[in-house]
Amino acid sequence: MKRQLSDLTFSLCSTIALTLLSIFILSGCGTSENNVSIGNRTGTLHWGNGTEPQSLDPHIATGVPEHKIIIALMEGLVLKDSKTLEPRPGVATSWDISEDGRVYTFHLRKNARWSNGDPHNAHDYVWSWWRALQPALGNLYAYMYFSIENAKEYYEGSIKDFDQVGVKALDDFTLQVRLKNPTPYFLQLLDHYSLYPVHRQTIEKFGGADERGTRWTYEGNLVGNGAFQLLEWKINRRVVVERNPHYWDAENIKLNKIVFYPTENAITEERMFRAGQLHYSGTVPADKVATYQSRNDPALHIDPYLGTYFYRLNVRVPHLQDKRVRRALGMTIDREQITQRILKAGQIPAYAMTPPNTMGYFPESDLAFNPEAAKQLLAEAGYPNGEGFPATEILYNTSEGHRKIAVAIQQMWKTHLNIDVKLLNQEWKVYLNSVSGRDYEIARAGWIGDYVDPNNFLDMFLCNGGNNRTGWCNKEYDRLILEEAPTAKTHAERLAIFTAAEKMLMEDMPVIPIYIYTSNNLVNTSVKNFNDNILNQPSFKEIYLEADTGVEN
Amino acid sequence: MLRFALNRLLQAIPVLLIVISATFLLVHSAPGGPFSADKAVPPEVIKALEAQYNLDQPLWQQYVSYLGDVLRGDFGPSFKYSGRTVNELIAAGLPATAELALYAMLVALVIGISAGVIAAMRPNSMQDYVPMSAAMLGICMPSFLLGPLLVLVFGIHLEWLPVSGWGDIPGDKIMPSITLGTGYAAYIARLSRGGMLEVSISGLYPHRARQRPLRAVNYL
Repeated sequence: MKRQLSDLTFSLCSTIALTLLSIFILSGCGTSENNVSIGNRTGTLHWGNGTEPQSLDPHIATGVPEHKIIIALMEGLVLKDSKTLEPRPGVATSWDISEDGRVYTFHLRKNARWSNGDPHNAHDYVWSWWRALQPALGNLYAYMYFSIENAKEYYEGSIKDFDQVGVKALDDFTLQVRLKNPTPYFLQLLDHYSLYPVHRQTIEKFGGADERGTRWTYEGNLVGNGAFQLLEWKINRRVVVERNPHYWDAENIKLNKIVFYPTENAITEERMFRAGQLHYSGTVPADKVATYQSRNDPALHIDPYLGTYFYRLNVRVPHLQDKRVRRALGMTIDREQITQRILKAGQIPAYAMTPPNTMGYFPESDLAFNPEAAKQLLAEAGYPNGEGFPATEILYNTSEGHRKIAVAIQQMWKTHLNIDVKLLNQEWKVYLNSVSGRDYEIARAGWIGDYVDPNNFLDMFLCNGGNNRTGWCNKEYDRLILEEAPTAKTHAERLAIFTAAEKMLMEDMPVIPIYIYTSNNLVNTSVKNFNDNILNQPSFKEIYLEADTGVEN
Repeated sequence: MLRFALNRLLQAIPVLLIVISATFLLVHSAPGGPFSADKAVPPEVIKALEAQYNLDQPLWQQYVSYLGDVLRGDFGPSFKYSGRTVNELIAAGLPATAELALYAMLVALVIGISAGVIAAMRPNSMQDYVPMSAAMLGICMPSFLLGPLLVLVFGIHLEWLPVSGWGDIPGDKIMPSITLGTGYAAYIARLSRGGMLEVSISGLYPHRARQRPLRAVNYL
């Protein structure tokens, strides 16, 4: 009996062992081949892209994952230098700017083609920009067009005739754009995907020009003008793009394919990177950053990012109407503590709204951590030692990161000003509703720049700025941003005007800047020409793969 | 039996109707809308978008047309993924879910029954204690702990299996199936051990047991 039993045990165990063994053999265990090493050989870049793209239509999309895919598939008149972000020729080979800075004439290259081989010319831009300004399309980035003459009026419906909008094809290869005011950052805007051209025949084949959610961006349908074309789009699995043979610069493209993986979970994406399934991951979990830093891992790239984390103060709330109170709140946030103890990923304490070195602009601000002076200000405002300070709430959208910062600030205000604030979290859409309806007292906010210019941060706080949402209004500030800055003669003069405006903003403090974001990227060392820049915008045109000899991935 | 099934199906109708109506009303009464965004959206644009998705109609009309669509099996367009329909999104995810469930069940049955049988063959010996302790561990170990542990060992340290994916890289279905299956395997192991022992104790086959010595193979 004993012998038979152990026989059975043996046979069961061996069955299990055999199954496991065959599984491992089938799965290719023992070989050191992975996505990265295979990709390096075949020219396939494996890109961790965060979440599933919500749309690949450049006139509808708004998010970062969408951005990364769209810039592979499409291209604007002007590109950006991947290091300096200076304008470089894209579809336009050159451009002339009129003396008064209001008329731009673009000379388009004659060998530009759509990915299906169709000719690509100036008329494509007129039609595409007309489409982008149709209200029914719901283009959230329509404001990127508003420096063009009558574009805003057309979008808002006060002008019905598109011919009055300042864009015109002078001939097949010459596009003229008239601006409302001189706009020194206009070339910057052209590399934003919201101003990319779209292929008219494809869009009309799948629905109306201003119809949202047609199938033109799907696998097998999408036609673009970029260095790559869409090969595959499997929901929640991958988006694959391959070289576009019709691209004007196709011979200089080194990558054959890019595979974009949507991975909702940042921790999973980091593991995929470590296991050699990805060449790149743009979402490093905050508590992993220290590990990479401590071993000086060359894969970790930390760079300043064109974005500011700040608190809005609703200046219509009675006790926040007094700018001394607002200043006192701003002066008692110890930003170093927040960046070093909570965020821990190289974030920069912010004492002004615009990130430093935005096209050579370094904001000046007298804001500093100064509890003594803050106490004084609060006392002058009628709340000595915080006595009688009304109950106040900090509103934030539900997220552990925002909560940690809010708790720290709550504690700092208690310690330094002896005031009690409460925390209130709301789901994203509810929070958006509260903030835009100005139904809050203090609200957490973030702003990521769309183009590299101080204007993108400062024009938010114009009296009727759609994203102001604080109720703050200063006519002199409006005059500086709307009248003085656009007509400045030199870049330096223009920056000086922004400096003055920003000082004004910080003195009144309708917003409390907290920190400047950083981009945290994990980049395999075999990825060459990955140039870090403040927009965290890769140039897939330039990237190539080269395995380091002797180093295993 | 048929009557019972029919009965149950008929009972489901009012339940589903209540659930659908409640979610419809809840979503409508929640603040914020599908088109609210971080960046300011002009009111004309919101209006144009609402018209495109029929959200400008009176609530009862929206409800009736929604209900009609649901009855026809059409869950409408996705508000988040522009251009996708809800049906399409479900169709993209369902096969993977079903496949994973099937593999996890196979893992659970193979490991569970084997471990249970091995344990029952010599109750209260090491051959019983070892698999049953393992089963206890399996029940106590949640999948969100087992998953990352497996990934760490087999994905990152040994580099035997991919750490993520489904049908992209050979072998990427193994760890999810094992992770999901193990918890159930533990239950099945305990059940099959209990079942085996019950059979031998209650003496369902006493005549055979008397005729010749008890052999495990007889049960199988």
